[in-house]
Amino acid sequence: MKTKNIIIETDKGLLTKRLRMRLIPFSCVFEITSKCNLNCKHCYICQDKTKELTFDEIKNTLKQIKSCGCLELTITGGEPLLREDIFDVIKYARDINFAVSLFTNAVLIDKKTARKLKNLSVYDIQISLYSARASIHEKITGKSGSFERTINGITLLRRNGIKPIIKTTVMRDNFKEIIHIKKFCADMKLEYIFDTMIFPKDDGGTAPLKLRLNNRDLNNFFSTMNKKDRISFSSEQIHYRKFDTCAAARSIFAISPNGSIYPCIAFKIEAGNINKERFKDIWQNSSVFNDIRAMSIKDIPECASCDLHNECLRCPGLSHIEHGNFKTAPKELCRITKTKEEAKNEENLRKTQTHKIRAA
Amino acid sequence: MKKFCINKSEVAWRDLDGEAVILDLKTDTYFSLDKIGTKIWNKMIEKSEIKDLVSLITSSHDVPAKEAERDIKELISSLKKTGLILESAEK
Repeated sequence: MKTKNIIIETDKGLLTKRLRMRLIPFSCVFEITSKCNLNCKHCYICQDKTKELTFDEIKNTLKQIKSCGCLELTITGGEPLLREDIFDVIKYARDINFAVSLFTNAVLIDKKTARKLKNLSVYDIQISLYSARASIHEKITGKSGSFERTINGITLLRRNGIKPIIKTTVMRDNFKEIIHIKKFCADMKLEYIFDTMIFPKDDGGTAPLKLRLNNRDLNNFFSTMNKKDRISFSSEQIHYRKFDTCAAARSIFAISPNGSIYPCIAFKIEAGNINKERFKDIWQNSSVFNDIRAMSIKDIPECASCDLHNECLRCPGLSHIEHGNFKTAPKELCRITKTKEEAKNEENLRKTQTHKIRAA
Repeated sequence: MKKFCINKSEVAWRDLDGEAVILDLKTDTYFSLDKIGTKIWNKMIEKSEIKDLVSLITSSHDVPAKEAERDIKELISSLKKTGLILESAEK
């Protein structure tokens, strides 16, 4: 008998590999509402006119996904704290042993809310902050006073012993703010994540795309990043690079406010709806999921022959948005990956030249 | 009398067909247990004594009680050290 084999998973990539090989729906991003108290310029969410899941329906959903192996539950929106039953949802999720993360703008976080989040052991809270200055932040959120309230929310969480992660979507309006956001986070002893990916709106609207950084600014952005900086669709998911494709429909999935099941929050092809079918049946039998699982890089010759394919996450969700076909190269990610590589090469060249000058 | 139970407020876990995957919410560290470890883990959802855990294992595995007790104590010690379970003394 060997009961002493407790294995410490220091590498989340190893765990992810096992989960995706076994097709366990381990991580769920749950858009619990599409309503929001801000009006961010770059946001892809369209206010959903269909009925949101009720608390009872959410409980039923959580029970079902738990029985299929889901552990990581990220609750997002819209703004999830706008739901009156949000703490009932979180409590229920914690009672049945989910690891609950929350994506919020923190505007609604007051003393009571911060204490509740602490008591419920919400383990990862990510807060959208676009600048360390009110004027820039509010130019993006479209809401006067939102900066002060978000900062207040962050401060209250810190006072309650919670260290939220600051998440900044980097766009034309705020890319010069990066250095100030880093300083703000250093002063508050907070981690941060930058994200340069801007998606069209869920209804196909292209207004957010005008906010994407041009190649020069994107290059500058990557030049200011160091190895420790976390960037979404980049360092964050480095372990995915060992595989042909990302984990969508393999170990991750998403749920919309009305119960639609998607491969990922960035990959919105409906595989089924929790009010019409059992989650287990959707996960195992949906043709959408099975098509994604059958995909390999060989299906996308442009990616297979690309020199940078090991540096790129090949987001099939983005391909689907761009071309209506997920078996294509996602052009925006091609641009970002190429620009990042150029910035890296330029930095290496600068270092080599400096070294040569010093040696001389 | 010492009893042990999962530190429910600080961990999240799933039993994936006999493999417990456990997340320490404070340190963001994942652990996993083999099938026998997972049986013991699941028993500790409720407060349990070492003797309960030993009989759980000896009733389903061909293993001497002493050997089972030694290994279980070792596992309990690891789980306590990492803060994944709590110990309480009860009458």
